[in-house]
Amino acid sequence: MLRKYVGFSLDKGRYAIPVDSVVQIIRYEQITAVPTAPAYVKGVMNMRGEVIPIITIRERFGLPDLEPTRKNRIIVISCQNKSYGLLVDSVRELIELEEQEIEEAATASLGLKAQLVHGIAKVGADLLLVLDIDQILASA
Amino acid sequence: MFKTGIDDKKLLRAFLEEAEELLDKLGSALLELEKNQQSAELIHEVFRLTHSIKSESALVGFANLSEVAHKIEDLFEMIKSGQRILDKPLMDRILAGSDLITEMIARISRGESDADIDASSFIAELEALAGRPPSTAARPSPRWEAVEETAVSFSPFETVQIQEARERGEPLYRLTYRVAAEEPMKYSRAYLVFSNLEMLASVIKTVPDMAEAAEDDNLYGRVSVFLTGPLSEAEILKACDVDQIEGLELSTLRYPSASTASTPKGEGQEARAPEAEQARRANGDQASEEPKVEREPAKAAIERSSIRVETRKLNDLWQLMGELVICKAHLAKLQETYEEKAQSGQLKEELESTVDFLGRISSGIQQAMMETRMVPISVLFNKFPRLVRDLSRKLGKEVELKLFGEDTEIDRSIIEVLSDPLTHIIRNSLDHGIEPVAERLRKGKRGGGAITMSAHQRGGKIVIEIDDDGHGLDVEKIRAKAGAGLEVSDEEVIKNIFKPGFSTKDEVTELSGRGVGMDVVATRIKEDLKGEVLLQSRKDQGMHLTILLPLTLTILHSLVVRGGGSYFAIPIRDIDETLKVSADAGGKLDHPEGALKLLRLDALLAGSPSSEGSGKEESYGVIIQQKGRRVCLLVDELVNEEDVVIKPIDDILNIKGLFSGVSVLGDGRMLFILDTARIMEVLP
Repeated sequence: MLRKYVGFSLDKGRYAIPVDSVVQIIRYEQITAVPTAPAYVKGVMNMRGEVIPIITIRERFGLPDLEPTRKNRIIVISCQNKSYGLLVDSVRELIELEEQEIEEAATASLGLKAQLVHGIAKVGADLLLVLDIDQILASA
Repeated sequence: MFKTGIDDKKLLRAFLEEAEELLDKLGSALLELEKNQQSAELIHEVFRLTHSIKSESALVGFANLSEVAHKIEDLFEMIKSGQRILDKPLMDRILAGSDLITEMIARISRGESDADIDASSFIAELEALAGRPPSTAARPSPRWEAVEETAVSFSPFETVQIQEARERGEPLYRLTYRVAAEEPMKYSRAYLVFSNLEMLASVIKTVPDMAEAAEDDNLYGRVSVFLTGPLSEAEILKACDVDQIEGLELSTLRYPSASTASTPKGEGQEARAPEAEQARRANGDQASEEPKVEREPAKAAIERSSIRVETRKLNDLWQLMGELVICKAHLAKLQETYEEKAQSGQLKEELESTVDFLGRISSGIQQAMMETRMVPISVLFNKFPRLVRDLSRKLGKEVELKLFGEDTEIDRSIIEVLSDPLTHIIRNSLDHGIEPVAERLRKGKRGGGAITMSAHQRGGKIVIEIDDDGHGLDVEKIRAKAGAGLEVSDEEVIKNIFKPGFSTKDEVTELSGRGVGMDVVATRIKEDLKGEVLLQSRKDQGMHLTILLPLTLTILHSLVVRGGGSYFAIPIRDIDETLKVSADAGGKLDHPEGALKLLRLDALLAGSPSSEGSGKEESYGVIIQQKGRRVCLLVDELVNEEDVVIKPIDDILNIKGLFSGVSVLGDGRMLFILDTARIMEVLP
């Protein structure tokens, strides 16, 4: 079955999430830090009256934490009637993938982050990590 | 059936919404009917409601539910047409049926199936009841009156006809006649009169129905005709000049109306045939047919003027309204900044008036939105008559429940939380408060007890009062149990029953259990609803409970403070005082009412409660109190007092649970609302 994915990047890595969970993509703007919140919660943002948490998965994929700038994007995801903002470096593309193009990831090579990854797809010469949104939010 | 019958969640949701509303109405209509079993209007109402439940549930595939509703509807059809009399045993079965329907709908809303409930025995029972032949012969003749009165109610179409006649200025008559007992062909005789009248006037309705073929000739021994037309009483009576027709009674009825000016009310009363008047008095039926017609048109008007809106949509609007308020505040701020720099006077004025205008619009919208969240408290109160009825029966007590101020409007979200505590209070009153009849009589009280529930708005609060005339609280028992000395005032002693686990009832009862009681009520009202509970009691006279609630839960009057770079809102009601604190105060604050622990807010949130200064000369102290404990929070700045709109906060933003919500400031910054009760809990 052909499904659409939103592809984005963190440093040099490429990632994708199913398009049906994406509400909108916005440019990063000043967000408010939340006292007592864990490190992966970068803050909160007011979006049309809804206060949504902005989370980063850089740490989970072994990438250094960076202070976001206007160049960053926030992918607003809806999950179980709640919205979350996923902070990414940039949004690259909208891609279509057949289910069989996504191979099960070799869990050993992924280590801790294995549960966050639904599978791996080859796009051209690059590897694309297809993420499992529910797992990311659940572990968040 | 359930799984395949409905795959469309939307449809199911719509059905449940509709069903719950119908059930509510059915519940209150049945209770009213129990008190007033002859009311044709109520019988018609119940018939209509069960009919709706039947069709709605059949539509979405709940056959079992539909069947039960159908059986009740059938019964009411028979009652309506006078084939059955509504008596107490029948009423009990019908109430049991409505319970069954309630239970099925509850199951459906939990995602289970209505088919899980075995309704077969109930259905069989009702079938048996409905199947019993109309025992006209066995019925004593004086009862005819009653049967006939029960049967009179006007359908919407008939109501429209009546309305139109009223607008034409025609009188509304009721004509009753009998067919002589010795006449074998009663229907035909009765029909002659009917057809004569049809030629002269518009016949709205006949009881029994003439339009249907005669099934049982004996039913037509006595006929009532409701008719309108531009004709005099004499003309009508002339049309009735038929052999074997006797006992003519003609009366002019009052129109159901808002404007009595156009109705023939005055002349109608005069025109009433004396013998008819007499007959009416003899029957003790004081103008009982007028109210029956009265309500229908009014009800229709109300239904037309309101529509059903999904709560989610209202919430969306509410959210947007919040945005508007924020945007307006931001603009006002910009205006201030601009005014400081601006040279041009005219532009300044224009800007000012525009911002003012926007302010008025947004507060208007805010007010209107608030009102959409409000529902009359009757939504909640309406379930209590049934509860009191059932419980008092079970307990063998006689209790009357009186409701006042049911149209008091209250925030929808409060209604949801308030339901359980109120139920508990009423149960307590029934179980522990109101004495058994014998005991009451011994005390010289009326045998039947009374519970009163009332609601009204006072100032910015909703006041709910519950009174019972039972034996009140046993203050001495509470005093002993609480280990309080005689020097403690009764009032103070009574407060003990709000303490967790406090109960004085010796035996465990099915209704109130043990130990779980007023403390749960008090906690829910205080913590979940931010309200207050006050209790007064007088021995053998009863108790008086007052609940004070905020008008809405979504707006909180708060003090906005800054600490460690973040902004927080502290509910004003939790603040004792604010003061300046010098940097060298150490961990304690000397206060006339005793030394207080000093805690830096940012440090507390970071998980290392300390009073170390942030290098500043001085900071501000906010003394908060909760549950008798007091602590002084140190913050960098007291910003202002503000009514903040509370938005829910996601769990991942609130790992320590120290916030009760989040809000947005005028300039778009977030504000975290401190949960002071929780802060007290985590204090070292």
